[in-house]
Amino acid sequence: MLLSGAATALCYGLLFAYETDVMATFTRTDGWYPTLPVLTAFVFSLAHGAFTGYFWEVLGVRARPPRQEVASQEVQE
Amino acid sequence: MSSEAFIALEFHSVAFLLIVGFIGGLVSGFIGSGGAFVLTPGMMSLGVPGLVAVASNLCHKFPKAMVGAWKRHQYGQVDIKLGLWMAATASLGMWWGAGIQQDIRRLYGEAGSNLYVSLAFVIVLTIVGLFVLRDAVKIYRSGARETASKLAQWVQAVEIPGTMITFRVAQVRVSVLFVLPLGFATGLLASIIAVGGFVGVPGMMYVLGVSSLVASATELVIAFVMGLGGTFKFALGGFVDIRLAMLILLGSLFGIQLGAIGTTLVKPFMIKVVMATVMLIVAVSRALVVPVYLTQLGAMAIEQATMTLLNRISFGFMLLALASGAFIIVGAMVRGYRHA
Repeated sequence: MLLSGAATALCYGLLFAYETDVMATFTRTDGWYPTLPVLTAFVFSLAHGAFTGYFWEVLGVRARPPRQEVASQEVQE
Repeated sequence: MSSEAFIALEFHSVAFLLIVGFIGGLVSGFIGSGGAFVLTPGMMSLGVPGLVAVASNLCHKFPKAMVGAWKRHQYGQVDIKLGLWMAATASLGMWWGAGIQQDIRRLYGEAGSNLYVSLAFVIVLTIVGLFVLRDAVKIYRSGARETASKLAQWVQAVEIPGTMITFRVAQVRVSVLFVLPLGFATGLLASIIAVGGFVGVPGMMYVLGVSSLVASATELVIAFVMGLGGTFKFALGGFVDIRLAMLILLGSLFGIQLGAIGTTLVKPFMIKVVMATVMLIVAVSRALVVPVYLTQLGAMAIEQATMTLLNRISFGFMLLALASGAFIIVGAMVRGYRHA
Protein backbone atom coordinates (compact mmCIF):
# COMPACT_ATOMS: atom_id res chain seq x y z
CA MET A 1 0.00 0.00 0.00
CA LEU A 2 2.81 2.41 0.92
CA LEU A 3 4.60 1.74 -2.37
CA SER A 4 1.51 2.30 -4.53
CA GLY A 5 0.55 5.34 -2.44
CA ALA A 6 4.01 6.83 -2.91
CA ALA A 7 3.90 6.08 -6.65
CA THR A 8 0.48 7.79 -6.91
CA ALA A 9 1.70 10.83 -4.97
CA LEU A 10 4.78 11.01 -7.22
CA CYS A 11 2.65 10.83 -10.39
CA TYR A 12 0.30 13.61 -9.25
CA GLY A 13 3.18 15.65 -7.79
CA LEU A 14 5.05 15.61 -11.09
CA LEU A 15 1.90 16.35 -13.12
CA PHE A 16 1.09 19.51 -11.17
CA ALA A 17 4.68 20.62 -10.45
CA TYR A 18 5.33 20.76 -14.21
CA GLU A 19 1.73 21.64 -15.16
CA THR A 20 2.61 24.24 -17.81
CA ASP A 21 5.21 22.10 -19.56
CA VAL A 22 2.97 19.03 -19.35
CA MET A 23 0.03 20.85 -20.93
CA ALA A 24 2.18 22.31 -23.70
CA THR A 25 3.64 18.88 -24.52
CA PHE A 26 0.52 16.75 -24.09
CA THR A 27 -1.59 18.87 -26.44
CA ARG A 28 0.88 18.63 -29.32
CA THR A 29 -0.64 16.85 -32.28
CA ASP A 30 2.52 15.91 -34.19
CA GLY A 31 4.49 12.67 -34.06
CA TRP A 32 3.87 10.35 -31.12
CA TYR A 33 2.74 13.16 -28.77
CA PRO A 34 -0.99 12.19 -28.94
CA THR A 35 -0.11 8.89 -27.24
CA LEU A 36 1.13 10.73 -24.13
CA PRO A 37 -2.33 11.28 -22.51
CA VAL A 38 -3.20 7.62 -23.10
CA LEU A 39 0.09 6.30 -21.70
CA THR A 40 -0.17 8.66 -18.72
CA ALA A 41 -3.69 7.45 -17.96
CA PHE A 42 -2.43 3.85 -17.96
CA VAL A 43 0.47 4.65 -15.60
CA PHE A 44 -1.73 6.62 -13.20
CA SER A 45 -4.40 3.92 -13.17
CA LEU A 46 -1.84 1.21 -12.35
CA ALA A 47 -0.41 3.12 -9.39
CA HIS A 48 -3.63 4.65 -8.11
CA GLY A 49 -5.72 1.55 -8.91
CA ALA A 50 -3.44 -0.56 -6.69
CA PHE A 51 -3.51 2.09 -3.96
CA THR A 52 -7.30 2.43 -3.89
CA GLY A 53 -7.65 -1.37 -3.80
CA TYR A 54 -5.46 -1.57 -0.67
CA PHE A 55 -7.18 1.52 0.78
CA TRP A 56 -10.61 -0.11 1.10
CA GLU A 57 -9.06 -3.37 2.27
CA VAL A 58 -7.23 -1.61 5.10
CA LEU A 59 -10.49 0.08 6.09
CA GLY A 60 -12.12 -3.35 6.28
CA VAL A 61 -14.40 -2.84 3.26
CA ARG A 62 -14.01 -6.21 1.56
CA ALA A 63 -15.94 -8.22 -0.99
CA ARG A 64 -18.05 -11.16 0.12
CA PRO A 65 -16.80 -14.47 -1.29
CA PRO A 66 -18.86 -15.84 -4.21
CA ARG A 67 -21.95 -17.77 -3.13
CA GLN A 68 -20.71 -21.05 -4.64
CA GLU A 69 -17.62 -20.92 -2.44
CA VAL A 70 -19.76 -20.22 0.61
CA ALA A 71 -21.98 -23.16 -0.28
CA SER A 72 -19.04 -25.50 -0.78
CA GLN A 73 -17.53 -24.38 2.53
CA GLU A 74 -20.79 -25.20 4.27
CA VAL A 75 -20.80 -28.68 2.70
CA GLN A 76 -17.22 -29.29 3.87
CA GLU A 77 -18.08 -28.25 7.40
CA MET B 1 -5.42 23.38 -29.63
CA SER B 2 -3.31 26.01 -27.86
CA SER B 3 -2.64 25.49 -24.16
CA GLU B 4 -4.14 28.95 -23.44
CA ALA B 5 -7.58 27.44 -24.20
CA PHE B 6 -7.35 25.27 -21.08
CA ILE B 7 -8.72 26.60 -17.78
CA ALA B 8 -6.70 27.53 -14.71
CA LEU B 9 -7.52 25.16 -11.87
CA GLU B 10 -9.11 26.64 -8.77
CA PHE B 11 -10.07 25.01 -5.47
CA HIS B 12 -13.79 24.77 -6.22
CA SER B 13 -13.21 23.18 -9.64
CA VAL B 14 -10.74 20.63 -8.21
CA ALA B 15 -13.18 19.79 -5.38
CA PHE B 16 -16.04 19.39 -7.89
CA LEU B 17 -14.00 17.01 -10.09
CA LEU B 18 -12.88 14.92 -7.12
CA ILE B 19 -16.34 14.58 -5.58
CA VAL B 20 -18.26 13.95 -8.81
CA GLY B 21 -15.43 11.65 -9.92
CA PHE B 22 -15.82 9.61 -6.74
CA ILE B 23 -19.62 9.34 -6.94
CA GLY B 24 -19.51 8.66 -10.69
CA GLY B 25 -16.92 5.94 -10.06
CA LEU B 26 -19.08 4.39 -7.35
CA VAL B 27 -22.09 4.21 -9.66
CA SER B 28 -19.95 2.93 -12.58
CA GLY B 29 -18.40 0.20 -10.45
CA PHE B 30 -21.90 -0.93 -9.50
CA ILE B 31 -23.98 -0.61 -12.68
CA GLY B 32 -21.21 -0.48 -15.31
CA SER B 33 -21.70 3.14 -16.38
CA GLY B 34 -22.51 6.57 -15.05
CA GLY B 35 -20.89 9.84 -14.21
CA ALA B 36 -20.26 11.08 -17.75
CA PHE B 37 -23.67 12.74 -17.99
CA VAL B 38 -22.75 14.95 -15.02
CA LEU B 39 -19.02 15.33 -15.59
CA THR B 40 -19.16 16.65 -19.15
CA PRO B 41 -21.76 19.42 -18.54
CA GLY B 42 -20.17 20.01 -15.14
CA MET B 43 -16.77 20.69 -16.67
CA MET B 44 -18.39 22.95 -19.25
CA SER B 45 -20.00 24.96 -16.44
CA LEU B 46 -16.49 25.46 -15.03
CA GLY B 47 -15.51 27.10 -18.30
CA VAL B 48 -13.99 24.09 -20.07
CA PRO B 49 -14.71 24.12 -23.84
CA GLY B 50 -17.15 21.36 -24.91
CA LEU B 51 -14.68 19.30 -26.92
CA VAL B 52 -12.07 19.43 -24.14
CA ALA B 53 -14.73 18.36 -21.60
CA VAL B 54 -15.74 15.36 -23.74
CA ALA B 55 -12.09 14.43 -24.43
CA SER B 56 -10.99 14.75 -20.80
CA ASN B 57 -13.98 12.75 -19.61
CA LEU B 58 -13.10 9.94 -22.05
CA CYS B 59 -9.48 10.02 -20.89
CA HIS B 60 -10.54 9.27 -17.32
CA LYS B 61 -13.23 6.80 -18.45
CA PHE B 62 -11.03 4.11 -20.00
CA PRO B 63 -8.53 3.72 -17.10
CA LYS B 64 -11.45 3.79 -14.64
CA ALA B 65 -13.27 1.11 -16.63
CA MET B 66 -10.05 -0.93 -16.81
CA VAL B 67 -9.60 -0.90 -13.03
CA GLY B 68 -13.31 -1.66 -12.50
CA ALA B 69 -13.29 -4.49 -15.03
CA TRP B 70 -10.18 -5.99 -13.43
CA LYS B 71 -11.72 -5.79 -9.96
CA ARG B 72 -14.97 -7.40 -11.05
CA HIS B 73 -13.06 -9.99 -13.09
CA GLN B 74 -11.51 -11.07 -9.79
CA TYR B 75 -15.05 -11.72 -8.53
CA GLY B 76 -15.80 -13.83 -11.63
CA GLN B 77 -18.35 -11.36 -13.01
CA VAL B 78 -16.77 -10.23 -16.31
CA ASP B 79 -17.34 -12.03 -19.62
CA ILE B 80 -14.37 -10.65 -21.54
CA LYS B 81 -15.32 -12.43 -24.76
CA LEU B 82 -18.83 -10.95 -24.75
CA GLY B 83 -17.42 -7.52 -23.90
CA LEU B 84 -14.95 -7.61 -26.80
CA TRP B 85 -17.58 -8.80 -29.30
CA MET B 86 -19.92 -6.01 -28.21
CA ALA B 87 -17.09 -3.45 -28.24
CA ALA B 88 -16.21 -4.36 -31.82
CA THR B 89 -19.49 -3.03 -33.19
CA ALA B 90 -19.90 -0.41 -30.45
CA SER B 91 -16.97 1.42 -32.03
CA LEU B 92 -18.79 1.37 -35.38
CA GLY B 93 -22.00 2.62 -33.72
CA MET B 94 -20.10 5.44 -32.07
CA TRP B 95 -18.54 6.46 -35.38
CA TRP B 96 -21.93 6.38 -37.16
CA GLY B 97 -23.60 8.28 -34.32
CA ALA B 98 -20.91 10.98 -34.42
CA GLY B 99 -21.66 11.41 -38.13
CA ILE B 100 -25.40 11.87 -37.42
CA GLN B 101 -24.54 14.43 -34.74
CA GLN B 102 -22.40 16.40 -37.19
CA ASP B 103 -25.16 16.35 -39.82
CA ILE B 104 -27.76 17.59 -37.32
CA ARG B 105 -25.42 20.33 -36.10
CA ARG B 106 -24.78 21.43 -39.69
CA LEU B 107 -28.50 21.46 -40.58
CA TYR B 108 -30.08 22.79 -37.36
CA GLY B 109 -27.19 24.38 -35.45
CA GLU B 110 -26.13 23.92 -31.82
CA ALA B 111 -29.70 24.19 -30.45
CA GLY B 112 -30.90 21.51 -32.89
CA SER B 113 -28.08 19.22 -31.83
CA ASN B 114 -28.85 19.81 -28.14
CA LEU B 115 -32.54 19.12 -28.74
CA TYR B 116 -31.68 15.85 -30.52
CA VAL B 117 -29.45 14.76 -27.61
CA SER B 118 -32.07 15.71 -25.00
CA LEU B 119 -34.92 13.94 -26.83
CA ALA B 120 -32.75 10.84 -27.18
CA PHE B 121 -32.08 10.97 -23.43
CA VAL B 122 -35.77 11.38 -22.58
CA ILE B 123 -37.17 8.74 -24.95
CA VAL B 124 -34.54 6.03 -24.42
CA LEU B 125 -34.09 6.48 -20.69
CA THR B 126 -37.81 6.70 -19.93
CA ILE B 127 -38.67 3.53 -21.88
CA VAL B 128 -35.68 1.47 -20.73
CA GLY B 129 -35.72 2.93 -17.20
CA LEU B 130 -39.39 2.07 -16.62
CA PHE B 131 -38.85 -1.42 -18.02
CA VAL B 132 -35.87 -2.06 -15.72
CA LEU B 133 -37.74 -0.61 -12.72
CA ARG B 134 -40.77 -2.81 -13.38
CA ASP B 135 -38.52 -5.86 -13.55
CA ALA B 136 -36.72 -4.91 -10.31
CA VAL B 137 -40.02 -4.40 -8.48
CA LYS B 138 -41.29 -7.76 -9.78
CA ILE B 139 -38.20 -9.57 -8.50
CA TYR B 140 -38.37 -7.75 -5.15
CA ARG B 141 -42.06 -8.60 -4.62
CA SER B 142 -41.82 -12.23 -5.65
CA GLY B 143 -38.46 -12.81 -3.97
CA ALA B 144 -37.58 -14.90 -7.00
CA ARG B 145 -34.16 -15.10 -8.63
CA GLU B 146 -33.38 -13.33 -11.90
CA THR B 147 -34.56 -15.34 -14.88
CA ALA B 148 -34.09 -14.81 -18.61
CA SER B 149 -36.86 -12.79 -20.29
CA LYS B 150 -39.10 -14.41 -22.92
CA LEU B 151 -37.19 -12.49 -25.60
CA ALA B 152 -33.87 -13.76 -24.25
CA GLN B 153 -35.20 -17.33 -24.13
CA TRP B 154 -36.18 -17.03 -27.80
CA VAL B 155 -32.80 -15.48 -28.71
CA GLN B 156 -31.00 -18.33 -26.96
CA ALA B 157 -33.17 -20.87 -28.77
CA VAL B 158 -32.40 -19.51 -32.25
CA GLU B 159 -29.69 -21.67 -33.87
CA ILE B 160 -27.93 -20.05 -36.82
CA PRO B 161 -25.17 -22.40 -38.00
CA GLY B 162 -21.69 -20.91 -38.03
CA THR B 163 -22.63 -17.96 -35.84
CA MET B 164 -23.21 -19.57 -32.42
CA ILE B 165 -20.91 -18.54 -29.60
CA THR B 166 -20.81 -19.74 -26.01
CA PHE B 167 -20.08 -17.08 -23.44
CA ARG B 168 -18.94 -19.08 -20.42
CA VAL B 169 -19.05 -16.46 -17.67
CA ALA B 170 -22.38 -15.09 -18.91
CA GLN B 171 -23.59 -18.70 -19.20
CA VAL B 172 -25.35 -18.09 -22.50
CA ARG B 173 -24.98 -19.52 -25.99
CA VAL B 174 -26.30 -17.16 -28.63
CA SER B 175 -25.77 -16.23 -32.25
CA VAL B 176 -23.27 -13.45 -32.75
CA LEU B 177 -25.85 -11.90 -35.10
CA PHE B 178 -27.76 -10.81 -31.98
CA VAL B 179 -24.66 -9.62 -30.13
CA LEU B 180 -23.29 -7.35 -32.86
CA PRO B 181 -26.37 -5.11 -33.31
CA LEU B 182 -26.57 -4.77 -29.54
CA GLY B 183 -22.97 -3.55 -29.47
CA PHE B 184 -23.76 -1.17 -32.33
CA ALA B 185 -26.73 0.29 -30.40
CA THR B 186 -24.54 0.70 -27.32
CA GLY B 187 -21.96 2.68 -29.32
CA LEU B 188 -24.64 4.72 -31.05
CA LEU B 189 -26.16 5.76 -27.72
CA ALA B 190 -22.69 6.47 -26.30
CA SER B 191 -22.07 8.89 -29.18
CA ILE B 192 -25.34 10.72 -28.42
CA ILE B 193 -25.58 10.81 -24.62
CA ALA B 194 -22.08 9.59 -23.62
CA VAL B 195 -23.51 6.70 -21.57
CA GLY B 196 -23.80 3.66 -23.85
CA GLY B 197 -24.26 1.43 -20.83
CA PHE B 198 -27.85 2.60 -20.46
CA VAL B 199 -28.60 0.49 -23.54
CA GLY B 200 -25.73 -2.02 -23.36
CA VAL B 201 -26.49 -3.38 -19.89
CA PRO B 202 -30.29 -3.72 -20.29
CA GLY B 203 -29.64 -5.14 -23.78
CA MET B 204 -27.37 -7.86 -22.43
CA MET B 205 -29.89 -8.59 -19.66
CA TYR B 206 -33.16 -8.63 -21.59
CA VAL B 207 -32.06 -9.58 -25.13
CA LEU B 208 -29.26 -12.05 -24.43
CA GLY B 209 -30.39 -13.27 -20.99
CA VAL B 210 -27.20 -12.32 -19.13
CA SER B 211 -27.52 -11.76 -15.37
CA SER B 212 -27.42 -8.17 -14.11
CA LEU B 213 -24.15 -8.86 -12.27
CA VAL B 214 -22.34 -10.11 -15.39
CA ALA B 215 -23.97 -7.55 -17.72
CA SER B 216 -22.95 -4.57 -15.59
CA ALA B 217 -19.42 -5.94 -15.16
CA THR B 218 -19.02 -6.74 -18.87
CA GLU B 219 -20.14 -3.22 -19.76
CA LEU B 220 -16.88 -2.02 -18.19
CA VAL B 221 -14.93 -3.89 -20.90
CA ILE B 222 -16.97 -2.11 -23.59
CA ALA B 223 -16.46 1.24 -21.83
CA PHE B 224 -12.71 0.59 -21.71
CA VAL B 225 -12.44 -0.14 -25.44
CA MET B 226 -14.65 2.78 -26.48
CA GLY B 227 -12.97 5.16 -24.05
CA LEU B 228 -9.51 4.18 -25.24
CA GLY B 229 -10.43 4.67 -28.91
CA GLY B 230 -12.19 7.97 -28.18
CA THR B 231 -9.26 9.32 -26.17
CA PHE B 232 -6.85 8.57 -29.05
CA LYS B 233 -9.19 10.31 -31.47
CA PHE B 234 -9.42 13.47 -29.36
CA ALA B 235 -5.70 13.40 -28.43
CA LEU B 236 -4.89 13.57 -32.15
CA GLY B 237 -6.59 16.99 -32.11
CA GLY B 238 -4.86 18.03 -28.85
CA PHE B 239 -8.13 18.30 -26.93
CA VAL B 240 -7.31 16.21 -23.82
CA ASP B 241 -6.72 18.21 -20.64
CA ILE B 242 -4.70 15.60 -18.78
CA ARG B 243 -4.96 17.56 -15.49
CA LEU B 244 -8.77 17.39 -15.50
CA ALA B 245 -8.78 13.73 -16.56
CA MET B 246 -6.34 12.69 -13.82
CA LEU B 247 -8.18 14.72 -11.16
CA ILE B 248 -11.43 12.94 -12.00
CA LEU B 249 -9.54 9.64 -12.00
CA LEU B 250 -8.17 10.42 -8.53
CA GLY B 251 -11.69 10.36 -7.08
CA SER B 252 -13.25 7.85 -9.44
CA LEU B 253 -10.83 4.99 -8.68
CA PHE B 254 -11.77 5.16 -5.00
CA GLY B 255 -15.41 5.05 -6.12
CA ILE B 256 -15.15 2.27 -8.67
CA GLN B 257 -13.37 -0.05 -6.25
CA LEU B 258 -16.11 0.55 -3.67
CA GLY B 259 -18.87 0.06 -6.25
CA ALA B 260 -17.31 -3.21 -7.42
CA ILE B 261 -17.06 -4.48 -3.82
CA GLY B 262 -20.69 -3.42 -3.37
CA THR B 263 -21.89 -5.82 -6.08
CA THR B 264 -20.75 -8.75 -3.94
CA LEU B 265 -22.61 -7.52 -0.86
CA VAL B 266 -26.07 -6.77 -2.23
CA LYS B 267 -28.84 -8.75 -3.89
CA PRO B 268 -28.35 -8.66 -7.70
CA PHE B 269 -31.68 -6.91 -8.36
CA MET B 270 -30.27 -3.83 -6.59
CA ILE B 271 -28.22 -3.21 -9.76
CA LYS B 272 -31.52 -2.85 -11.61
CA VAL B 273 -32.94 -0.56 -8.90
CA VAL B 274 -29.95 1.78 -9.09
CA MET B 275 -29.87 1.72 -12.88
CA ALA B 276 -33.60 2.52 -13.19
CA THR B 277 -33.42 5.30 -10.57
CA VAL B 278 -30.48 7.01 -12.26
CA MET B 279 -31.99 6.64 -15.74
CA LEU B 280 -35.41 8.03 -14.80
CA ILE B 281 -34.05 11.04 -12.90
CA VAL B 282 -31.68 11.84 -15.79
CA ALA B 283 -34.65 11.60 -18.18
CA VAL B 284 -36.50 14.21 -16.09
CA SER B 285 -33.39 16.39 -16.10
CA ARG B 286 -33.16 16.36 -19.89
CA ALA B 287 -36.94 16.80 -20.35
CA LEU B 288 -36.68 20.07 -18.39
CA VAL B 289 -34.35 21.64 -20.97
CA VAL B 290 -36.37 20.63 -24.05
CA PRO B 291 -38.39 23.93 -23.93
CA VAL B 292 -35.08 25.85 -23.83
CA TYR B 293 -33.84 24.28 -27.07
CA LEU B 294 -37.28 24.60 -28.70
CA THR B 295 -37.17 28.33 -27.88
CA GLN B 296 -33.69 28.64 -29.36
CA LEU B 297 -35.00 26.98 -32.53
CA GLY B 298 -37.94 29.42 -32.66
CA ALA B 299 -40.62 26.77 -32.04
CA MET B 300 -41.52 28.12 -28.57
CA ALA B 301 -41.19 31.38 -26.68
CA ILE B 302 -40.06 31.50 -23.05
CA GLU B 303 -38.13 34.24 -21.27
CA GLN B 304 -34.36 34.22 -20.81
CA ALA B 305 -34.69 34.11 -17.00
CA THR B 306 -36.91 31.02 -17.26
CA MET B 307 -34.41 29.34 -19.59
CA THR B 308 -31.56 29.99 -17.14
CA LEU B 309 -33.69 28.60 -14.29
CA LEU B 310 -34.60 25.48 -16.30
CA ASN B 311 -30.92 24.89 -17.13
CA ARG B 312 -29.98 25.15 -13.45
CA ILE B 313 -32.80 22.87 -12.30
CA SER B 314 -31.84 20.40 -15.02
CA PHE B 315 -28.22 20.28 -13.83
CA GLY B 316 -29.48 19.90 -10.26
CA PHE B 317 -31.49 16.84 -11.34
CA MET B 318 -28.34 15.39 -12.97
CA LEU B 319 -26.51 15.71 -9.66
CA LEU B 320 -29.54 14.27 -7.88
CA ALA B 321 -29.50 11.24 -10.21
CA LEU B 322 -25.89 10.48 -9.35
CA ALA B 323 -26.35 11.18 -5.64
CA SER B 324 -29.49 8.99 -5.48
CA GLY B 325 -27.62 6.13 -7.17
CA ALA B 326 -24.73 6.46 -4.70
CA PHE B 327 -27.12 6.70 -1.74
CA ILE B 328 -28.95 3.49 -2.71
CA ILE B 329 -25.65 1.65 -3.29
CA VAL B 330 -24.15 2.65 0.05
CA GLY B 331 -27.42 1.87 1.86
CA ALA B 332 -27.64 -1.56 0.23
CA MET B 333 -23.98 -2.24 1.05
CA VAL B 334 -24.49 -1.38 4.71
CA ARG B 335 -27.54 -3.70 4.85
CA GLY B 336 -25.49 -6.37 3.07
CA TYR B 337 -22.75 -6.13 5.71
CA ARG B 338 -25.25 -6.38 8.56
CA HIS B 339 -26.79 -9.53 7.12
CA ALA B 340 -23.41 -11.10 6.32
